[in-house]
Parts: sequence; C-alpha cells; structure tokens
Amino acid sequence: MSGSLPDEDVIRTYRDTIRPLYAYVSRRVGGDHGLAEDLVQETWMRALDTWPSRGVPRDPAAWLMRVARNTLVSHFRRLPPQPIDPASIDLEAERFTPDTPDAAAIVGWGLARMRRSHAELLEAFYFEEKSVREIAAARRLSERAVEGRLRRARNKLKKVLNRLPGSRLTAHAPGGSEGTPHAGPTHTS
Amino acid sequence: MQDPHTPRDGFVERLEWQISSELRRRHRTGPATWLPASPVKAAAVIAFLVIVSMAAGGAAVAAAVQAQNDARRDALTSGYEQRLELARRRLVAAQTHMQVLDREVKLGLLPPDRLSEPQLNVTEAEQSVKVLELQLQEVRLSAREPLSEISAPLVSGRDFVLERLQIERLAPELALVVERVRLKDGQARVRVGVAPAIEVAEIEARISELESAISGLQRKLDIRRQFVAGQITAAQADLRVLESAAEHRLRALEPKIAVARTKVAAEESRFNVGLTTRVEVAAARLRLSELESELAKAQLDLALIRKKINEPS
Repeated sequence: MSGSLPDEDVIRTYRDTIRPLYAYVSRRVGGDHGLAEDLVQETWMRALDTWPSRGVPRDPAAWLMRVARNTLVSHFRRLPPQPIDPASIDLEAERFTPDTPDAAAIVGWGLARMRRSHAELLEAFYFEEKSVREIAAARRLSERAVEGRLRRARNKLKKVLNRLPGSRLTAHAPGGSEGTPHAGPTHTS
Repeated sequence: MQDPHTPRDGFVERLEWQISSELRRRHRTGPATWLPASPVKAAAVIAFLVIVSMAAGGAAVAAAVQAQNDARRDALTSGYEQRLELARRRLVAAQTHMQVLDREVKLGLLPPDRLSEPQLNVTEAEQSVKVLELQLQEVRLSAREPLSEISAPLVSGRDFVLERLQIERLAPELALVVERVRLKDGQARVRVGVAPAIEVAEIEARISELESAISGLQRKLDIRRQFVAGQITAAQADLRVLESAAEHRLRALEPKIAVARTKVAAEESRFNVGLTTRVEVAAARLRLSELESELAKAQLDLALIRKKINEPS
C-alpha cells in the first residue's frame, strides 16, 4: 500500500483534468450545469476514496472519465421514465444531437439500459460528435462495419425508448434503404 | 458565445477548495476506513452452500437462497453506505464554506447577499443526505434497490416514497425565499435605473419555475396518498404523475418565453442604434424559436398523456 498522497499532485491533476472531465459529463447531460457539477463532484469524491491507497493513476483523465461514465449510467438508471415526443428524438436525422437536458436525459436513460459496447458507440457518435471515419480509425474497423454497428445500436436504442409513454419510434431493418448512415455526419462545432 | 460545456469558474474554484479541504482532513485524521463487500468471497460461500445442499437436500437449498438474499442485501447496503458517506462529506464541505463566507460577511468584507447561494448549497446537501439515509433504510428492509415510482408498494408498512417527496420540497422552498429577496432587490435597482428591466423578468421567471416545482411536488404527494389509500390504481397514479410533470414543464416554459421575447426586442433595439451585431439578434431569435418549439412539444406530451388517462381501462 502506498504512503500519503502528495496534495500538490492531486491538485495539479485536478487543474489539468477538470475542464475536459466537465465537458465529457456536460455533453452527456445536455449542458445542464447543476447536474454536470453534481456528477463531476461525485466522480472526484470517488477519486479521493481510491487514490490515497493506489496512487494517482498513470492516466488520470481516462480514469476519471471511466468513473464519470459509470456515475452517469447509475444516475440515468435511477431516473424514472419520462414521456417523449418522437419528433424530438429523431436518431436518424443528420443534425440530431441530444444537446438539451431533456433530450440528453431521454437518450441517457436509454443508453443506461443497453449493452455497454452499443452504448459507447452511440455516445461517440451523438455526444462526442465523432464521424464514422473517426470511429472506424479509433477502433480499427472498416467504415462499413461501423455503419452497420451504428445502425444496429440505433435500432436497439429505439426499442428501449419505445417503452416510454408517447413514443412511436420505428426501428429500421438492418441493410434497409433508410438513407445509409452518413460516412461523415455534419457535426459542426 | 461561450461553450455551454465549459464549467463555471465558481464551481471550479469551489470544487478545488473542497478537494483541498478533504485532503487536509485526511492528513489530520487518516482515511475513513470501511470494508467494501467482497463479491468473490460471497460467491465462494454461495457455491459451497449450493454443493452442500445438493448432497443434503431441501433445507440446505433454503439456506443457500437465504444466503444469496443476504449477500445481495449486503452488497446493496454497502453501496448506499458509500454514497451516504460521500453525501455527508459534501455537506460538511458546504457547511464549512458557508461558515468561512459568514465570517467574511460579519467582518464586512462581503455583502450579505453572498450567503444566499452557499446557504442553498447547504440545504441541497442536507436534502441529499436525508434522501440517502431513507434509501439505505429501505434497502436494509427490502434487500432491493429503493423504488421511486409513485405506485411503489409500502415496505414493512412504511411509505418511503412519501417521506422522500416531503424531503425533496426543502431545497426549492428555500430557493423560492432567496429568489423573492432577490426580486425585491432587483425591483429597487430597476427603479433607480442601475439595472435593466430584463433582470427582474428573469428573476420572476425563476420564481414562477420554483413555484411550479413546489406545486408539482405537492401534487405528487397527493397522488401518492390517493394511491396508498386505494382510491386510484397503480397505472392511474403513474399517468397522473406524468401529467403533472408535463403541466409543470408548460408552466415553466411560459415565463421563459416571455423573457426571450423581451430579449429579442432588446437586441433588435440595440442593433438599430448600432450597439450590437446581427449575430446577437439571430442568437436571441433562435433561443426564442427553441423555447416556442419546446412549448409545442410539451403541449403534445400533455395531450398524449391525457388521452391515455381517459382511455377506458
């Protein structure tokens, strides 16, 4: 077991990582400041519980984001279901991003009830606004493979969201001619 | 326009201060010790009991099931105890921060209104602790995750849902008091010409939102009492809660739209005299359009829910 954790290491790590960590959480809660602050604070409290015994991780930003992701999933699993308007959650739309607290809450609720591999792919696409090309490069897959996985993951998300009152989301058959997921979506910053 | 995913400076400073305080506390007292549940040990015990039960018969099977329930309860309890510990630390940090600011106000270094937000943070932290304490009690009694639906059953004769709803009123009620004080101050500032009218409109919108939230919580309490008394079914109770939430969203949006319209008019006036750019005017108009679109969606949600309520069961 390691000795006491130097405070300056922790504070330096905090200052280096707070903005990327906050941005990571904030994108997933649609920019809701209060909620993002609570979840970031909870993530850091977990770090203070763990790091004294194990030391600051080699890649603290990655560690914090992993814990933040778990904290987000726990949060969305505890949320009661809310009614949705299908027009506000058009997963196929080129410009759709869950960038309001309500849309992020619905998408987050759905992702928390999906398998992690599917959820992470959709997070990269909707919250990180990565293109199919970027996702393919990061995962060492072909763009076609990523498009297929995205389509399947979207269909699974729609099935989960269809449990919500008011929803009428329709799933597309795999390989159907729905207007294939764009190779480079117009995620503009 | 500022990136919406940038943290507020006040939050960054406050959290750094909390982390530093926590590190100093640890140096003084040592780390808090608790033993996390060991899922490997629990699994080994259960596996052993299952093998014994196959050899010994039914009584041992019952013991294995009981051991499994106990292991699940222990794991859940441990998780909630950790979260409660975190919440208590957040409360202590908020109270300490409040005390520091209180001293500075008493010394005349800060104006008294600087205490409003820290006081609200303390109340929210107290609320979180009380809710987690209730959840822990429910887990210990039921050996499962706490249920928050309005139609959740009682647990050993106790109504945890009602108790949690009563606690959840604390923070918005205090926030309402704070905003009403800010409104008086804002109105005075507008009267003497040191603040624009829109500042008061924004506070009024916030007050309206809080009043609506409190009224929504009261409605939930009433629906819960009706359900527990057997006056409505579980499905009716859930739908009525959704209806209340949709009505609350509508009420919260209306003053925001009024503020947004005022902003659009203000930006257009400023543009006409060359004090702002087309971009700012367009941004204000976009915000108004977004709010009006949200209003239309909220109206549709409410209509869908009311249709379901009125469907014959």
